[in-house]
This record gives sequence, C-alpha cells and structure tokens, in this order.
Amino acid sequence: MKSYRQIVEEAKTEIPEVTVADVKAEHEKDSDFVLLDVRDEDEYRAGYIPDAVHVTRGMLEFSVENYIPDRNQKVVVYCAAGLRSLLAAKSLREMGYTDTVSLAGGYRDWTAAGLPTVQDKPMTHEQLDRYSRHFMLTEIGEQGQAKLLDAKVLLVGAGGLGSPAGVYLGAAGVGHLGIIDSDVVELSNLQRQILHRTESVGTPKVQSATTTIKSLNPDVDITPYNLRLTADNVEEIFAEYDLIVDGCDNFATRYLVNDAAVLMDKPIVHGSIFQFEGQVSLFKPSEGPCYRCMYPTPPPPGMVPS
Amino acid sequence: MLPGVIGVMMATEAIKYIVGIGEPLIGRLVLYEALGMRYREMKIYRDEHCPICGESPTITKLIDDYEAAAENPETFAPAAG
Repeated sequence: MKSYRQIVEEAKTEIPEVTVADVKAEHEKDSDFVLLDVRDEDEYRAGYIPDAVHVTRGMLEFSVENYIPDRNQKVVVYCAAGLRSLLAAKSLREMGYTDTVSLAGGYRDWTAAGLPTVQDKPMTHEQLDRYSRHFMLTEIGEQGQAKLLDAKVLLVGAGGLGSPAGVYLGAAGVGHLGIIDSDVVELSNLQRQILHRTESVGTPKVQSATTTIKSLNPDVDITPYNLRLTADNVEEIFAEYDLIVDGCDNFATRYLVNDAAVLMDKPIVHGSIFQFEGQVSLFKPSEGPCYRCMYPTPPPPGMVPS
Repeated sequence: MLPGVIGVMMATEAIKYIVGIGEPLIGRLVLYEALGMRYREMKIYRDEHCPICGESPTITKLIDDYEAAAENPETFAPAAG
C-alpha cells in the first residue's frame, strides 16, 4: 500500500518540474509548448492561464488525444498547486507522450506571481444545466459553448430550411441570431416550416420565428428583419454577422447573398432543395469555391424551382 | 421532411464552423436524395474564371437589381473583358 506522498514522490522521479518563471521565459521565447490544465470544471471556470487547453484529470486518458494529437508535443501540465499535474503528466508518459513536465506550484504560484489569467464568460446555473449535454462532448465543452453564445449568425429565410436551422441553432445556444424574411406565414407553409404555428398564420414569419426560438431558448438574442434582402441593405446587415446561413428560396437572393459574402469575406452555409433532393456545402471565400464557381449564372426563367 | 434533413445539416455545419471542430464542408457538396435515402459527396473546386472570386473577376461590386438580373443571365455575370 502506498500513501499519496509516496505516489507523488515516485512521480517526481519520473516527471521533470518547471517553475512559473520557466514557463514565462519559454512563453516569451515563443517556444512551442502546450499548457494543459487538468483541474476540475469549477476550478477552471474561476480562471485559467491564457491559451491553456483544459482536460480534467478524470477525463485525461479519454480525451487528451483530441486536443494534443502529437505525442512528441511538449506539454506543461498544471493543476492548482502542482500535485495532480505530476500524476497527470505521469499518465501522459504512460500513454506515450514523450515530453511532459509539471508546473510546480501550479495555478496558485502563477497567480501569486501576478501573471495574466483569463476567465470564460461566466455561465448562469441555468446555462450550465441547459448546455450540460454539450459539455459532455469534449470537442465542444464550455469553451465551445462560450463560442456559440458569442456567435452572430444570420439566417436568410425563415422557411423550409431556415426553420430547422433556426430551431437547432437557437436550441444549441447561438447567442445572436438575425433572421431575414419578408413573408407572412401561410397555412401551406406549416407542413414543413417548423418555426411557425397554426396561430401564426397571417403574421410576419420573422415575428413567429422570434417567438418560437425565444420560447425554446431565452438566451438567444434575435434581430428580426422583416424585409427583402437587396443590394441596398445587404452590406449593412451582413456586417453584423460572422456567418450567413442561406436558406433562401429564390435565385435573385441566392446570388445576392453569394456576391455580398464573397465581397465581404463572410462564410456561407449553403443549402438548397428541389422536390426530393437537397444539397449542402460551406462556401468560405478565399479557401474554397463559391456558389458562382458551381453555377456562374442562374438557370433561364421558367426552370427556376420554387 | 426533406428541408428538415438539409436544414439540420446546415445547422450542424454552422455549429462546427463556430466551435472550430471537425471537417468543414469547404470544397465539398453533399447531395441527399430522399426517395433512395442516399447521400453522395461531390468535390467542388474554385473556378479561376469565376466571375466574382476568380483571378480576374468581372463582378467587383454588387449588381444594382438582382431580381431583374436573375431574369437575364447575361447581365448577371458580365462577360470577361
């Protein structure tokens, strides 16, 4: 039987320790290393070292590869005071990581030295509960959720494609959603446009979409645009958003969205449907093709699906 | 049902992009055919002759009236030169 002291002492014989001053010096030299925070969620939430990757010690072996795929990457592990990080660094060595060290004194010494820390935007208890299933996905976690809450996404169209997209983006906690549509809800929309309800027939789609998403998730800040997107208003609207989700239903708007996004360097999530077929892509200006690379001009009138 | 499938795929791409995870659909077009319940993937490439993102674009600012232009493909993409 071993006491924790023995376990720690053993780890110290295998794992080199570095001090806060060493890390600071390495950082200033722009050395290539990853800071790995292995503390628990609540400790991490209270603040962490800038750029640190967070994997709790409990989840370490299961998820570290998602964050640090290169086994030869230099990794500086830290915890609150430098004990758990020693044990975590030892586990990493067992997993084949060749260059893991432990930060002596951990986060305590880091803050005592007056070095910078960061804190994610604090989430409310309700948010921690609402998005808890996202936190279980290591690829998303609290940091991913924070990105979603900060994101500004514009939905072009609150119809067949905009409805499911809007429902899921709202439910997932995308913090700012702009919704453009100039139509009113018609009874024939309801068979597929799940943002709208029977009682909304005759009201603007953007209003009904706002009501549905707000009741699903009050976290979402929604800007409704009850208008048709045109060359005159597109730039002012697009400027407010990081990403355009194009679920429009006509070629004039589709080309307008494409051209404005290319000229303004905004990515577009593209989707379209016709009868029983649909297509999806992501157009990122300068990194890949745009809609006009596939279809330089629209089909002749009369061939236009609705 | 079809728009649900496509719309949710769009939301998935949006979330992947925002969080910065996975393999984005840049340069790939996913095609879904509901009756056969089949997905296919096509590689799509940037066209160096593309009128807006190509090497010598003919569209350098927005067209005044997209609705009118959509009726007449020639005004939609002015010929090169």
